[in-house]
Amino acid sequence: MKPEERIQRYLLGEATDAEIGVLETMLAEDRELRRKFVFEAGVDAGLREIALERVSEPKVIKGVSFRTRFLPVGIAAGVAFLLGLGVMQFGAETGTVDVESNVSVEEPLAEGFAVIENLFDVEWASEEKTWRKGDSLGAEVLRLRGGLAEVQFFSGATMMVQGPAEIALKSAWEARCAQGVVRMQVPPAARGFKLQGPSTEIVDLGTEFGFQVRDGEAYVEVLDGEISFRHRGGEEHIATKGAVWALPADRAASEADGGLVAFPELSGVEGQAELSQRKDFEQWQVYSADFARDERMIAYYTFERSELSAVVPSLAEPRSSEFDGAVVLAETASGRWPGLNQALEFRRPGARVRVHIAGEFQALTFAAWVRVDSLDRRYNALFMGDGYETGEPHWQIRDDGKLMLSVMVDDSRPHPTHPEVRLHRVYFSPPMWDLSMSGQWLHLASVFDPTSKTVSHYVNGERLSQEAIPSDFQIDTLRIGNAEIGNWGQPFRKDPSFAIRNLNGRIDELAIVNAALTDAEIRELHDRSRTGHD
Amino acid sequence: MSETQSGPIDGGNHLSEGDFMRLLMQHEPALRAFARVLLPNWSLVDEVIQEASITLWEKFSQLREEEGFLPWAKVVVRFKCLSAISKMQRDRHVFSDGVLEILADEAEAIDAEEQAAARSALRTCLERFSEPHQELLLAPYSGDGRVKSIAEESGKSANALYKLLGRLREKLSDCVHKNLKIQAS
Repeated sequence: MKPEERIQRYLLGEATDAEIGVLETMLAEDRELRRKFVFEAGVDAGLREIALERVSEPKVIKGVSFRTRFLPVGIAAGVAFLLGLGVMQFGAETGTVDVESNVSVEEPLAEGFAVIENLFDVEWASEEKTWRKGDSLGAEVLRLRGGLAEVQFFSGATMMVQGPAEIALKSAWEARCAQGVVRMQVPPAARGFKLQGPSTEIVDLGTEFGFQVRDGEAYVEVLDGEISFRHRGGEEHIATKGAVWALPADRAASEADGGLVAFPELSGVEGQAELSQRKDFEQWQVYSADFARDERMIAYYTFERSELSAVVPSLAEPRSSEFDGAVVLAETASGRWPGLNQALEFRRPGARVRVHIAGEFQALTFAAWVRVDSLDRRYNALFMGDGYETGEPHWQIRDDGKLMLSVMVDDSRPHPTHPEVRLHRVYFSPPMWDLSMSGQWLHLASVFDPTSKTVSHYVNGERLSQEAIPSDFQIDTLRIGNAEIGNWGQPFRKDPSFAIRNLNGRIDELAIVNAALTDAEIRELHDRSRTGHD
Repeated sequence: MSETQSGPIDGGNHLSEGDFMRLLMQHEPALRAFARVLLPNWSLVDEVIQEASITLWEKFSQLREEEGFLPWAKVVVRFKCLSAISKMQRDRHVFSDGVLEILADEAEAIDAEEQAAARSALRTCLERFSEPHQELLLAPYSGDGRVKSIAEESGKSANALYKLLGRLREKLSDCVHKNLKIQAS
């Protein structure tokens, strides 16, 4: 066996004890071989790094991110060191107890083969069957009464649909149009995309065509490139740019005059969408400046920061740099108005924003715009008090999609039913997130109100749940102190799955208010800060 | 804000908690590669790096200059590796302390720049392999039995696949080697 081969077998964990002995002797005697060994160990380390990256990075297809595999425990252990800083403190973990048994979440599979890229003034034919921008689509039927929808297939093909329309999605490579006006754009990668009409099958050979079906009568126009089609099972026609064919249900296809149908234009819609986005954004700016002046505001972050600045200012008036956040490893990314505002992304395990918020509070409301890409951790942090000491809050999302708010009631007393942890209680919402919502912006709010003795959770302005604070868990004075946005600074447990709590996603805006905002106030907050109306 | 945190960094130097995080992130691949030279498997490497990073954090206040981070961290990791491996020496065959010491000397000499160049060359080189070969090259790190399951899928014996894997790894490191030489000249 060559020495090189011995090194590889050793590094792959395939060497027997005897082989290790031989390699050891060779290494002791030969400096060149030691250099080689060090080099190969470096390659081994580099390969492992790449392997773990590839597993942990979600595949992103046009704004939809999903994971097909999950982080192996190894990488979690590997990165835990960053957060392992808190391991020196031993105590008991907090959010883990209350009380629900661990629901094992089945490994999610990537679902769907297309996504709603844009909706413009869409009215769905049925109230039960509606979709939002960013929703992923599988084999289903889209029925539009009116408006314009843009569907992006994972093959790369794009379909603009003008309602009234009925479109059945078959796969990333095939759809059926029973009614409506459709414009297909098919890049080279999606060449071969098939669109079926009532009595016609069209194969796009690249790049663009329009198709209309009204009352069973169909009509196709090649806008660019080439298509082939077969009408009523007849022979195959090839049609090139400018060609127009009438496709009647009961007769053979015949060439027709062009320009009869105005096919939906991508650029027109984008322009309009952008305009309405900008309007929303500007309205929000005015509202946000007003909100920052709310006397009850403790800290308010919109995460806009100048390039390279490690600070995100708190905008609460009067301004105080005391409450500014220090950005560690979190990356600036586009916010809920892409191109207009910024958010912070907490994808990396060490990512966080550190804050110090002094003071005592009579109630707490947390409100944030959050884009969850996936819930990778058992607990995924939104806002976490460092030490979880008396009066300090933890706001996070569990991996089953439940929003959680908890407060340490008394850090010197054990929990009555779980004596291994200190006295606290977690208030859960019903599950409000699943993988199909990956990449969508959500407005999340939770309220801890000692006066009415309730804890409430809200999603997109709607109250999802309200729970009473039992008398054993009452606490009137709340504190924050050192805390983190998007991660947890002081994990107690050694177990890395508990120690890492970075949110795989983005936070665009976070308000912390010294009051229990009412249902109406939270609805207003959502309505006035949301994007668009899709 | 990180400067105002209480903790072991209040010793009067100018490096903050944020600096520590950044330096650790930056040099973590180099430290992992270093530990890999001394330790027989990856799970032990992960354990040692985690332990070492706590020690680094505790003693971070002693560090005056950023440039000193990597050499200092290697000393800590080296110590942790040797103590971890001494616990194994009774149970199975691992390299003796003497060999480990001279290997560590060799590995300590690699500076941050060399390390970074090698990492980037590796990425370039890996791309030159076909998809299935890339998958095989990365398989040993993708959890238990991935190499074996590829073997089953492809109808080859695991043994044959490990042989192929060994050859691919040699080819890959040849490429990295050449790539570095070109960069250096």
